[in-house]
Amino acid sequence: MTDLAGMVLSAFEEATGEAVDEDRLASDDPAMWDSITHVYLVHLIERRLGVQLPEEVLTGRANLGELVATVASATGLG
Amino acid sequence: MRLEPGLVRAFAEASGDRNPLHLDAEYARSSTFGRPIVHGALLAISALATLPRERLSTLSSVSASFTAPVFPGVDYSLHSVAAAGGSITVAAQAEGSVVARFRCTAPGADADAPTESVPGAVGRAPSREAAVWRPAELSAGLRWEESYLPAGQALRDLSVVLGAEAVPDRVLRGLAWVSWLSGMRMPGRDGLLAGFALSFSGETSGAGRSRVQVDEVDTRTGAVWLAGHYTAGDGSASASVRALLRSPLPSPTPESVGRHLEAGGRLAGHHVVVVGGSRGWGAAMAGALATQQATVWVMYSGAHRQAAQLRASFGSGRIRLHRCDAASPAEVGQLAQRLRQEDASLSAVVLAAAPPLRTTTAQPEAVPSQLDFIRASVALVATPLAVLAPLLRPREGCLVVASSAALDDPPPRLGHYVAAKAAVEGYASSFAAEHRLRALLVRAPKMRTDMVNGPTGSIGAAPPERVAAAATRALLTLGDAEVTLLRPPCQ
Repeated sequence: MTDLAGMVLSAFEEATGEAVDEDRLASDDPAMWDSITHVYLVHLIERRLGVQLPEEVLTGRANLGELVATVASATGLG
Repeated sequence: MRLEPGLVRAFAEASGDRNPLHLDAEYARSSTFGRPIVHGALLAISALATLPRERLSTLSSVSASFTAPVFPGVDYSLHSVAAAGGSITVAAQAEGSVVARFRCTAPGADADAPTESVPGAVGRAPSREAAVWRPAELSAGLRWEESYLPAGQALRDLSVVLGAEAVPDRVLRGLAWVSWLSGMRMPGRDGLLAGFALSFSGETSGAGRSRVQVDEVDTRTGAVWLAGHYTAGDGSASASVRALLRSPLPSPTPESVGRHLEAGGRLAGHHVVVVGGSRGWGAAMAGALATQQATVWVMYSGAHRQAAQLRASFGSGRIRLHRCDAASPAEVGQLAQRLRQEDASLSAVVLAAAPPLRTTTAQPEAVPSQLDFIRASVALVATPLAVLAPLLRPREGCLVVASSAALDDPPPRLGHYVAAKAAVEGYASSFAAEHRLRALLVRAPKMRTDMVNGPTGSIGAAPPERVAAAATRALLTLGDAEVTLLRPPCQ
């Protein structure tokens, strides 16, 4: 698991209160993940990375693994 | 567990959080929820009731994450599980999905709640009305101090009803304060509490004082982060609160419609009914048709303020209001009677009404509400058509149906919405063929309406006036084909 993926998982845990592990990256279960949670999650990621992510990160989401890929693509981080 | 409306009212009075989203059915109807919701802090008290008494007596902090609204009168389940660091997490679930999580810690356990206090600030007088903020008024560093005194005995009585009598008074007061703070002060009337982290201590100075500052504001989404400190007679609480400020959406005006559609007179003498015409795309259609000199009969059920505003903007000569339940044949029949009495020749019916929309999950428990949504959506089309169709002239009369681009690109967690729109399209198309009418199916892109007025709802969304303009132009140039599909562009 990359550092970025670990950070995103940690941010998800803080945003939702749900303890997660690496398996969550591939999970398509969005049960705990509505737009309000997603906004907070993106905010935590931005704060931890010290960057502002593009708007499409706010509006598009599938699973955490894809979010990691989107953030990696937007920031050049891996 | 079920939180009835009476408990919501009791908590509102005890805490002072009288935000209309909890108490005013008409106001809540114009929100994305479509109906009043339960205070998150009230749900928190219910969740704490599941903890052992000995844990409650030593509770040092409570944190909460809210991911879906909690509605009065709906059954929820609470499940607690021991978490890392000696804390306990309580999850509230509905329809198989977690709607909120609460993490409760005792002294010595890992806590995620703040302990530092907020510096003193300018005093403000409290009010019984929820504060109203415009996004431009929010800024990091904004701070204020005011008195806050919940009705302690009323909170205690409520806790007994909830089976939470073992929850200490300081915890009840802290939760009431967080609710009042977010619901009445910041973000206030147009806000939504998304989560909080609350810690308790024995500090007693400045009893009944609330000090709050805005830590951060995200102007893209309206997200607000607050830090606060509250002291009462026997203890204090510190909180970090995250909330969302929802910007109320303006009603269409001749100016906003005129930016997308030139005024004309081609519909002079024509009468059009717009079902669901007080808000959103329906209101935009009503305005667009009015600018073409149609007499527009706006059917609406609850949003009287918006309906009245629409009439004031476009003139009572162009906009005629009819308040009714579009799914009630008798009530729609009263509009038909009015039209007959005025000898109004009906040229078109615009079907823009829809039930409130929420995302859903693939859980079996969610299926009944998904089916209810689909049924309600079809009823809001089928009933008006059944009653009003005799007033439409064959081969000339037209149905304009609010569908969605989601049919071309189904998004996740909205299967019930996509199914409803497919059903509505199919129903209207078949109806048009049966009654020799023309149907214009408008697969609208995401629009800036109350239906999606959440934190990311306006990002990439089209103004409804633009989509209404495209639909009106299509209506004015509609050929003889029974069914025409229109896909207005988003940009």
